[in-house]
This record gives sequence, C-alpha cells and structure tokens, in this order.
Amino acid sequence: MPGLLKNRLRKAPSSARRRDSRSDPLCQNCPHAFVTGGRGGAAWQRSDARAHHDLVDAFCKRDMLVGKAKLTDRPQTMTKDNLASFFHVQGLLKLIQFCGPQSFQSALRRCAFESCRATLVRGNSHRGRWLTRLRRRSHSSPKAELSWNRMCG
Amino acid sequence: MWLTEPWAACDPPQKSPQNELVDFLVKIPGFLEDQLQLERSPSETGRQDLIFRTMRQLDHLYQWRWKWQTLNPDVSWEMEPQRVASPQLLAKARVFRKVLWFSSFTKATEIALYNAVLLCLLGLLWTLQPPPDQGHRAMGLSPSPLHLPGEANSLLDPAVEICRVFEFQLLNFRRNSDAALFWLLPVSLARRVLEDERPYLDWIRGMLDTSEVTRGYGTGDNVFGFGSYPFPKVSRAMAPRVQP
Repeated sequence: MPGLLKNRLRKAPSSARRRDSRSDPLCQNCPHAFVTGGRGGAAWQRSDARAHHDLVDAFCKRDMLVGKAKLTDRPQTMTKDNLASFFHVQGLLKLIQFCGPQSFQSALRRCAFESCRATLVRGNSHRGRWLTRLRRRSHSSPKAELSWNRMCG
Repeated sequence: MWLTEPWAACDPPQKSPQNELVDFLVKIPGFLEDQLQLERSPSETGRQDLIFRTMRQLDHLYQWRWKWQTLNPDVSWEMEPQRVASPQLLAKARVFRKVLWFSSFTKATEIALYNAVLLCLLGLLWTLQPPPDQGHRAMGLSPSPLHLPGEANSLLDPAVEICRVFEFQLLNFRRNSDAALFWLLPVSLARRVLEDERPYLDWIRGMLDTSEVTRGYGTGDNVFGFGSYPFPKVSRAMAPRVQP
C-alpha cells in the first residue's frame, strides 16, 4: 500500500477504526445493516448496501481492513455529521483510486464501482461553489478545521 | 479511462442508462469549480469556455433523451389517483390531479435522474448567461406526458417532473427490486428549485413524510450534496405552465 494512502487511512476517525471487520464480519454496526435490517429503506438503499458490501469484500482480500472500517460509515445522505461524511467519501475515493479502473471489470465489482461512483458524485458535490460555504458553516472548531485542511491539502 | 475501463469487459460494452447519466454528473463538480474560479477572478474567455463546455454537455444530454424517447415511446402515462393500487400512500397536499405512471420503476428512475442532470446543466448555463427568450415547444409531436428536450422554459419544469416521478417511485418501490443509483438526489434538487413555490414544497414534504426513512430529510443542517446549490431564479420569457 502506498505510504501516502496508508497515512491517510490511518487518520480515519477513531469510531471508524474501532469497527474492525475481523471482529465484525457482517458489518452489523454499519448503516448497510441498518438499512437492510428491516427498518425500512428503498431500492437504492438495498442496492447501495449490497454493492458496498461487495466492494468491501473485494478490498478485504487486499488486507485493507482500515478501508473497510471507513466504508462502513454512514452514507452521507442520511447523516448530519458532515465531517464523518467527508471522511466516508474521501475513503471511497482513495480506495477506488488505489485499485484502478481495471479492477472493476468483473460484473460483481463493476456493480460495486457503479454504486460507489454515484456516492462519490453525491459526496463531491461540495466542491466548487459549496467549498467556502462548507468551511464557513461546518468546520468551525479548530479540530474539525485541522482535519478539513489536512484532507484538502 | 474511468468512464470506459470498468465496462470494457462487458460483451457488448454497454452502460445502463443510469450510468450513462452518471457520466454527465461526474463532470458537474468540475464545472462548478470553474464557475467558482470565475467568480473569484472574472475572465470573459473562461466564461465563454465554460458556457461552451456546458452547452456541449447539454447537447449530449438531449441526444440521450431523444434516444431514450425513441426506445421507450410509451412507457409513461397519466392516470386518475383512484386507479392507484395504494391511494392511501398518496400525499395529502398534492398539486396535480392525475398521477404520472411508468411501465417500470427503472424507467421512472432514469427520467428522474435525467431531470436532475438537466437542472444542474441548465442552472449552471443560465447562471453564466440568460436563457433565450423562448423554448422550443414540441407539444403535439409526442403523446408522452414528459417534457422533451428544449421544452423547459424554466428550471421549474424539470423540477416539477421530478416530483411527479418521485410520487410514482414512492408508490412502487416496495414491489420491485430494481436498483436506483440515486434515490433522493433528484427530489433534493427539485426542492431547492421549488423553494419559493409553497404548494410544491408541501407536496414534497408530504411525500417524504410517508416513509420513516425519509421523514424530515433535508431539514437538518447537512449541507453536503447538490441540494445546497443556489439555483438561478431565471426563466424564459413567455413561459407557459400547463397543469393537466
């Protein structure tokens, strides 16, 4: 694993790091279990959950378990924790970039990639015009501001 | 490479219509970055370049829509609410008497996403330059109740269509297993566009409140997502809005 990526992944929130996939193989604490566990949820959520799990499994074979923990964060559309959402999207982006486009040519992984690409589009919509707004509204605490600057370079 | 490589092994190499629309969406954050850059340091050359790129995407999007219309000429129609299988699921504060219906959940999802992309591109384009005076009315050419390319006289038209599609989706999502890459993004965009239209806002809220998962969606302080985009309040001159 490239050093830069490893360092970035190590900076995942502690709550995400605690959800190690070894002790939680079914991701019972993750939102995918939440949306598939009978508490409602529409077609997109079931699809997203399945696809994310598939992608997670693909990454697990590469021993990227920290990445798996990051993937199990709540989808940004359903949470008010903007910083956690930001980390979730950034984690997805790094992992997909690390694997490269050719890694997703099998039907199963392509399905996972399609779902994650959609998530990245939603998550990346904070770029551009929203960037300054986000920084002004959502990252007021020094700790949050530090994390934001670190991820934005 | 990311737009083609993952699908290269398909036989034949073909994306689903939803993924073709995502190909449009992935370009929009870059466009918005350029727009932000133009606001910080105005440049006529940069503005013209961004207008050109936006219009090119819009042209491709219209081509996608015409192709979709050719392949799916009779997949949508309007029907009386009494004929809906579960009329109790309809929101109380509805705007249209008739319900927009589709032959499949997937077709509805594709049209909702198409309108979402259209909102993004038209919103950006009309921010950069005022819209031309009059749209191309193709009424009568097609029996479809859906808007055809070039018919949008303001951003309200695609936004309202999204609302009608979302109503169908809510009524039908439990009876199908089709995948939707985006579920709340289109209606989130539509609500942003319709924020000054109280009846539509009440309708959207009523629809979202029918599910405990989506109840209160968008009312919190989550500023992520396209729903935070300040869409321009512009429309063409002589914008007729016909309610069936």
